[in-house]
Amino acid sequence: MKNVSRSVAVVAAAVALVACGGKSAAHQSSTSGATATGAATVASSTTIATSTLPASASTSTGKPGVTSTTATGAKTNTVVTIDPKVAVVASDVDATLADVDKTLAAIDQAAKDATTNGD
Amino acid sequence: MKTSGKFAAALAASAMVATSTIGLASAASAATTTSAGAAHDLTTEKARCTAGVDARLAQLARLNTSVNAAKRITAGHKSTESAAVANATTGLQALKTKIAGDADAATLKTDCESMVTTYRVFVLRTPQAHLVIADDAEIFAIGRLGEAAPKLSDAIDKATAAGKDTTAAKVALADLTAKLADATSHANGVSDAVIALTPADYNANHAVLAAPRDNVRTAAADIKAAAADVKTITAALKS
Repeated sequence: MKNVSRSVAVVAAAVALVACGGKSAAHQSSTSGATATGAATVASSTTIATSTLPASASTSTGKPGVTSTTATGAKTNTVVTIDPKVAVVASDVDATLADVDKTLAAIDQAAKDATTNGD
Repeated sequence: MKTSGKFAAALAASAMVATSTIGLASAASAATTTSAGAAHDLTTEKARCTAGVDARLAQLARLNTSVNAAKRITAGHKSTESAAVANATTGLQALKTKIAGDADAATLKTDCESMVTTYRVFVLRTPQAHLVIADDAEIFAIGRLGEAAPKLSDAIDKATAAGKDTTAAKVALADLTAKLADATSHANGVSDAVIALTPADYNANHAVLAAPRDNVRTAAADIKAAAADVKTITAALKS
């Protein structure tokens, strides 16, 4: 709950900054209390302002999947957690592909060596 | 066969020298010159053949290092490749000794040709070992990406259910699936087919490695595209 409150506050601040740009403090103040409709024009990852977030709005399982913060009438802030093994796979594959590239280069070099050595 | 061509040219030159000498000097003098020229050519050709053997032995040593250092080669393929390299090394070492003792041009010519056609170190053994190493690595990569695909699909489903726009992730997942299927069709069986090839196979068909080489390159391109899809999906879900 603490984390979500903090992140909501940060995002709300970001929303206010992006939405208001260089406009007046009075305008920023009104945007910080924006409704969901106002926030939606900023970015898809933005969330509702702190003032409209219900106390029970946060869920977090700590497992791979989806953690959502929702509020009635407000935009959903969806955080997708991908199985960490995917990152390991990506790293393994990148390293393997680097090896394959080296090996393919060695085959090209072998063709040149064959010509040089009269094979 | 560059070696035999040059060797024949050297012998022909030797004959020309002998003929012109006969025209200018006595028969006895010509015989002496011919003998000295032939001995010189034999020594020169022997040195050239020995250098060729040494180059092949050095290449086999490099191949042995590559096979031993390969991270994804299967134990069976490693064993077979290592044995092929060891056998070729033993044979060439024996040939080198024989060449050193060759006393006539005909025997030396045969041995020099054997250095090339019996071993095919550069045109067969070298790409053969590297193709096996590359193909085994590709099979490994395909397997790993195959493990990741369902996890990514699961994450996409959850994100979709939570109301997130997953259009880009779904497109990338479809491409990932297609690229893995194509990579599998090109990579499967290449190592087993290539590792069985012998110098005699190459002598009968110089294009014997063309198809395996194309398959390995195509599979590599597919795997790179599939790996990029994984990154695209991950980025799309986290954005």
